Formats: sequence, structure tokens, C-alpha cells
Amino acid sequence: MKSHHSPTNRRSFLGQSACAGLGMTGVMSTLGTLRLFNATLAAQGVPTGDDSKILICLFLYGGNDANNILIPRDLPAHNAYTADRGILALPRANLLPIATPNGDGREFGLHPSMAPLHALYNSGKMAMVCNVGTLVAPITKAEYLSGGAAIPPHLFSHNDQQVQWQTSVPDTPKKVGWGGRIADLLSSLNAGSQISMNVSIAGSNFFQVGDQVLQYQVTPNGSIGLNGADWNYSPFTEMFQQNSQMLGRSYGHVFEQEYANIMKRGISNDALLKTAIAANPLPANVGTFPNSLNPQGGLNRVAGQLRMILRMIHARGALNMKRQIFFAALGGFDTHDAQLNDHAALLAELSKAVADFYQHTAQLGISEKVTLFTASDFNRTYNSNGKGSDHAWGGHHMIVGGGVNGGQLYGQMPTLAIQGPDDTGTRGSWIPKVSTDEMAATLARWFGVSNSDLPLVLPNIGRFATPNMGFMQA
Amino acid sequence: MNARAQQWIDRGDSFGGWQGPRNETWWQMALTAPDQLRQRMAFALSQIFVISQFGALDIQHEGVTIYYDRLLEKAFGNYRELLEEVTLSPMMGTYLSMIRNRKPDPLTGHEPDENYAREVMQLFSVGLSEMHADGSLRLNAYGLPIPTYTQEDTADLAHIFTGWGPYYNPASPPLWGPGNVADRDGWFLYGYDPLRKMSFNENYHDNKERQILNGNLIAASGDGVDRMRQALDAIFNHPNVGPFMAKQLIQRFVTSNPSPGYIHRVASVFNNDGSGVRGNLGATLKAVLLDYEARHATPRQSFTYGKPAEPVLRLSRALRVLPGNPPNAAQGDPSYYINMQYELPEQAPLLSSSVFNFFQPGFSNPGPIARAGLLSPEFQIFGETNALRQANFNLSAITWGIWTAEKPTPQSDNLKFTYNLNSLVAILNTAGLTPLQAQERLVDHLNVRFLFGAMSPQLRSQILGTYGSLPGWFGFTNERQRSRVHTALYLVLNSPEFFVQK
Repeated sequence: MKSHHSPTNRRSFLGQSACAGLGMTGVMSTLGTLRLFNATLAAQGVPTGDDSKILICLFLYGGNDANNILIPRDLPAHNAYTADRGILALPRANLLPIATPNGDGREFGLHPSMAPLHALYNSGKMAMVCNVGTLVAPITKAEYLSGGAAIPPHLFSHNDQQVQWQTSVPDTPKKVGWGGRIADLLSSLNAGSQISMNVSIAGSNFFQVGDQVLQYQVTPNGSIGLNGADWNYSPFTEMFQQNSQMLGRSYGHVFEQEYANIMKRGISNDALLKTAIAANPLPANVGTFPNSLNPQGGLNRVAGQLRMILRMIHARGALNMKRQIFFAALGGFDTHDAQLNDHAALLAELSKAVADFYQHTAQLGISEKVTLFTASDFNRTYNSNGKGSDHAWGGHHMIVGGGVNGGQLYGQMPTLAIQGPDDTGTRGSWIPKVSTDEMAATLARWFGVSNSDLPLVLPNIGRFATPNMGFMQA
Repeated sequence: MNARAQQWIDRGDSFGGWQGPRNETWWQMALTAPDQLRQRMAFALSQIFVISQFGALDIQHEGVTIYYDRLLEKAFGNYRELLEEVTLSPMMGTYLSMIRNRKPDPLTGHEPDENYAREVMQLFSVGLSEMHADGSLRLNAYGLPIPTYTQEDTADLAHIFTGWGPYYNPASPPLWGPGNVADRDGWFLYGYDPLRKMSFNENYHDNKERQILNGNLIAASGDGVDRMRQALDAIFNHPNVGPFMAKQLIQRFVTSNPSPGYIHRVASVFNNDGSGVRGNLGATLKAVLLDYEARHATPRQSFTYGKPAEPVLRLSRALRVLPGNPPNAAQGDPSYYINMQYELPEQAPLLSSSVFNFFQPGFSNPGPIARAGLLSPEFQIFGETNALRQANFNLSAITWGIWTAEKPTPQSDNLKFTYNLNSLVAILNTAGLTPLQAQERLVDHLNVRFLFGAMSPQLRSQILGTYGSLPGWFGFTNERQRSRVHTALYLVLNSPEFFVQK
């Protein structure tokens, strides 16, 4: 990590913070002095030797058809692709060609709706991991067919495969996510923070569940607090005092106690977060997501979530957070029917939003601190069902950020052939060559998990060959 | 309801889409229909046999409503009949893409759509792993769970489910336009009828022999209707269905963590209602509700007993207990006109984000609940965001009201529905009682109505504490007494003990 310290910066840092700090003490008395100090620094864009890292999981619910995001482009291969995919095939002329400097000689193109991400790939800010999926351990086709090696339970089932992608431990029923385990391990880096390292903009998930750390849920428009708590007149003053005591009691019933816990956490986190974000507004041209607007106004679904993430990243100093893990999501990828149009629209939405987000992190000078990756239930079948495609297994995923060794493909593209050496059967369902563990471990290493601690985050990592795939800069 | 939908459109008030009037109707029936148990059962079934207006069904308000009506009709009927009703519904056909599912074509290389075949097994009937009658997992020689079906079962069932298209009656064929009669195959491929059951077309049916669920043989034949029925019979007769339905119905009605014995007793009734009939849903529900574990005081005292309130039921409980002021009551119109699409975005009937329902039966909230090894489905949609949104909704509903889509004229503001709190104010004004006595009487009343007489002494003292700490100038005018009612209701509706149905 490069340091931004310099003697000049350090002097202005001390001078400005002293003045600003004095003026704001009364306003933010609920926050600790240190947090206030940092907020002031961040608000004024003063480099502080910031070694923060931010990891974002963008989950594509329903099972993204990765076979149509990364498409063979050399003519014979594209002809075979067209024959196999039938109505799902995209014309060769429409593909966005990519260079594959570390590839196996085959040529590929991206889906035509992915132009913004295509530009990021070309500028080295996006990498793709090929044929990655849930695995208990490496497995060959012969082993798969004979039952000679363990396979992840309930392959092709949405909810089970979502959980396994998010926990990366398919062979245990315990639903603790690898994002949660990272947060458990690195929590000391956020010393003094009262907000969870793991914040979801997309509701409940397993990725962010730790043994200790719990996810905190906010909406794309921010956190929700307790309305009326500022109605400072009778009888509401008295009512909210009693309400606070009611939530503060300890309850014998486990559900009642959990209700009280969630309410209390929501109320206190909301106060902290609103204060921190208000003290650190995004600069005027940041967070606008200019290419991600809905025709009827407002940001598209992905951009709305990423804007909230950007706000929280920008307030990280005030929140005492050197590490942040976010969860965002887009649904609708279960394209059994009407796939071509629906999938193109989803990819356009996500590509524009992710590319705009990257540009905003660059504007803030933090692009190398922020990495976004996609995940999904599974890939979809290579051949069609006449209208769309069905549930399959290994797929391809995007890694975006200034810290990515981009412009390259990682892992190994499968042999794209029905009943070929990588197909589980007759539908074109690829047996993964890369496990979710390996992709996750590479991200975890970048995020600050040491090599020796990797098994704490990814208990099965020892079964796989490549705990660091190299798609992140050291 | 179509007339009501037209009213929305005429007012330029189409923001709720076509589904707004459906939601209004649902709330009206849920709160006021005389057959409350049937309403509640249909809602439970709608969370098992899930379709959602999100996605392909968003403009099919009429078809979605008919689907729900079928759940109401068959709520106490036979599971097997319901399964076929659901399978052939054009709404399910659209939602899980069984409509227009075609046999394989060597020319295009396509295979049958596996969507409905997979989900009907995973989510509507047998589940993922083989179970004993008490819901516990059967294990193989290695001590591992046994998958109920394989990928080959799914693919074979997908083949059996080919050939179903939009409703087509050859005696009275549909028209593409005036004088333009649709032929059978053309209608299969391009027609649509959201209101009537799907029709079978042999030309698109894969007629080969198939095997599903532990080797149930479905013989080669062109009679796809019969083959579909054989397949549903095989699913219906799988031993998992009893414990599968028993556990989910218990979770929807009584408790998130039923004992194996409770599941076994209910599953046994599903398997045989006493007169040799399998799948009697009415008898099954009766077994759920009248079981020792549902009725007796001892199991109910456990610190894990009961279920968290899902948002819709949390609100419907309040709305049923408290009388309301319908927005057009002055005109003699008793309709509530509430649709709750914006107040409760996390849950509305037939509006889940996927076929996996709003929450899943196996969900266990991370933290103390998961560490205790307990299931808590409803907590899947009860994070900080929804928790506070619901608390805030209660505050505004009590003190201000609930927006409706009803406007006196297209230009004027929306009317609101309000709780009618006069009877509660009257308790506070009871003649002959001291203020404290009247307040205690109000709290006792709320205890019986909302908490089945089980209000904790602490909650009681907190409500009375609110009153006791009010300044002397606050007084006892009707307006002040109404404010007292507001505060008591807020504390009750937002209390942990009201949140958990025990």
C-alpha cells in the first residue's frame, strides 16, 4: 500500500484539524473526540496515511448466465457457440472484443450491453475469474459421474448454492459467511467503531455473517431511525423514555430479546451513521452516477445501492473504520424465459452502475482501496430450454477496482461443448476449475488477511492449489 | 375489482399498478371476511405455493387474484387437487415458465425447461432431503442426508411437463382478431390466457418413458395429461410430503421450532385423516391448531416457543383488534381502501422477491438465535431497516392514520384510514374511577385484546410510568386522553412481547 504521507500534507493536516475540531465539538457531542477529529480530516480531503480497504460483494440473484457475458469470438468457436446455444446466441459482430494476455489462445468478447465494463477491462481496472464455482474439493468429470468424490450438496438449487457461494464451505450446514469470518478476524482494525464492519444495502445475507460480527442493514437512501424520538413534548418525551427502557430490558424469550437487540442496534447505528455522513458529504460531482439514471428519473437499482456505499466509504474516518465490507445485490437473473432481452437489460444496468462507481472512487482518490466483485447462485445451462436457460454450475465473475490486476482472464475457461470434458451431463453445465475458496482467498489476502490466517476465513482452502490467483495487486 | 382498477387509472392514480386494487381487496377480506381461518390458511398456502407479482406477472392482477381465490377455495380441500390446480394455473405457468415448455428439438438443441419441475419438488412438496415422518433427516450408511431427487429426476420431470400452453378450446377457439381464428399450435406458441387453466397440446409433448422420485415409472405415451397426473401422484405419495407440509403449516400458524413429535402427529393426519384419505388439508390444519403443543400451557412457557410476527400479520392483528374509520364512512362505504404497498414493502400478499417466499422455513437469524440452534423464518426480513420502518409505521398509523389510494376527486388529496380510538378514550374517562384506576383499566383492556392476558408486569408498569411521569399541566381533556391512548398503543404494538406470537 502506498503511503500518502508527506511533510507538507502533515503540516496542513495538523493545522486544519485543530481549528475545525474546536468549532464542531458541541454539534457532535455524541461522537468521541477521535472520531470527530477524523471526520473533520475526511471532510476536508486531507490525506491521513489512509490504509483502508473496502470490499463489495455484488450478488446477482437467480444465477447469472455467465455463458453470455464472456463469449468465444474466434470464428469456429463462435459458430460452435451459436449451434449449441441456439436462440440464446449473440451475434459475433455485436461482441465487445477483449485482449487475453494470459489466456490460452482463444479469443473472447463481452456481452454488447457491457460496454462500460469493457472500457474498465481495457484500462486494466477489471479482471474476470473464469469457471469458478462451489466445490468441496477439486473434482474431475469421471469422479463426478461415478460419485467418486464429494460434490457440494444440492447443486442447482438456488438458495443452497447462494449460501455456499457466500460461505464457501459447502460441506457444513453452519451458515457463517467468508465476509463475516474476515470481519471477525480483522475487527481490531476498526477499533472504536460501533458500526459493524459488514453493512448490507440489500437485506439479509449469509456472506456477512460472522461468528461474532453481525451484519447491519441500511437502505439505498440511508439508515432508518426511530421517528418521533425528537418530538420533545409530552406525552411523547415520556413515551420514548419508556420505549427506550422497554427495549433495554433483558428478555427471557429468545425472539423477544432478538427483537429488542435489532431495534436498539438500528436506533444507535442510525444516529452514528447519519451524523458521520452529514459531516462528510460527497463532493458535488461525486455520487451522481451520470450514466446510471433511470429514464423516469433517479438512479438505477444497482447505482442506488452503490451510492449509499460510496457515502459510507467517504464517512469511514468518522466511523472509525479502516475496513468495510458491503453487500449489494441485483435480482432477476433466473432467466428460464425471455432471457435475451431481460439479461441484456440487467447487464446494462449493472455495467453502467459499476463503471460509474469506479469513476467516483477514482475522483475521491481511493480507487485502489476499493474492490467490487460479483457472485451468483450458479451459471446457467449452455443449451437453451427453448425460451431461456436452466440452472448449471461453474461461471465467470467480474473483479473491479484500482487494486485489480485487470485486463486479464484468470482461472480457466471450460471446454465449451455439450457433453464435453467439462460438462456434467447433456446441458452444458460446467464443472468448476476454480473454487469460490480460491477467488475469495485472493480477495481476502488483498484485504489484509495473512497467509497463515487464510484457513480461518476459508477452512477448505488447503484442498485447492491456488490460494492467491494473482488478480489483486500485492 | 376490475372496476376498482379502472377507478385508479381514471384518477391518474396508476402508481400502484394493477396490483393495488388486488391488495386493497386482500386487506378488506383479511380483516373483515367471516371465514377468518380460511383467509389465514390461504395466506399460509400462498407462502408455500409461491407466485409473485414481481416480474412477469406484474400486470396480471386478475390472473393473480384468481390464483389466490383458488387457494381460498381449496384451503381445506385435498393437497393433491391443490397441487394440480397450482401446476396448471397460467399464473404459475408464467411465473415458473412451464407454459410453452416444449419437448427437446434436435435441430435447435434445446431441452425442456427445468424450472417448474425443480421447484415443485423442492418448494411445494418433497423438499431436498429424505425425511422421517417427524421431519428429521433420514441418513445413509455414511451418516449423510439422502437427496430426495437427482438432477436426472428433475430433467425427467421437466420432460413430462412439456406440452402445456395457454387455454385453448377447439370447440370455441380464440381469435387473434376479428374473424382471425387461432389454430392450436399457433396459440400454443404465441397466445395467452391469464384467467383459465393451461391446455395440453400433444404436438409439443415429449412422450418417452421417464422415471421420477425413486424409480416411479411414467410409461411412454402421448397422453400428457395422464402423464402429468401420474407424476403429481408420484410426488403426492412421496413420504416426505406429510412432514414437509406439517412443519411449514406449524411454522406459519403456531411456532417456528416444533418438536419432532408435533410434526409427526400432524404429518400422520396428512398421511391419513382417519378415513383413509391422504392430503386432507382441513384435517391437517385442525391437527396443527388443536395439538397439545399448540394448546397446552406447558410447552408454551418455553423461552423458544412461538413465532415472530411477519409484517402483514403484525399489522392485521392490530387492525382486527382496533375498530377503524373507513375513509368514506360518511358516505356509508365500509371499505378500508388500505393496500400497504408502500408502508410494508418487505411483505405483501403474492409479492415476494422470488419463489423462495419472503423468508425461508430453514432460516436461522445469525447471532443468539443461530447459536441456540433455532429456526426463525420471519427474522429473515426483520433487519434494522424493516424493524424501524414498522415501528415508525405504528407511530404514524396511531397518531395520524394510514394513506389510502382513495381520492374524493382526481385532483384532491388522498383520504386516510384511521383507527377509531373512541372506545379506548372512553375507558380512560370511565365515570367513578380515579385517573390511575381508569388508566389501569385501559392497560388491562389492551392486555386482553393484544396480548391474550399475558402482558409482562414490566410493560404494564412502563405504560403506567408514561402516564405517571406526565407533567401536571397535561390535564385530562379528551385530546389529552387520546394522547394517552396513543402512547399506550405505541408501547404495546412495538413491544417485544407483541412481536412474538405465543
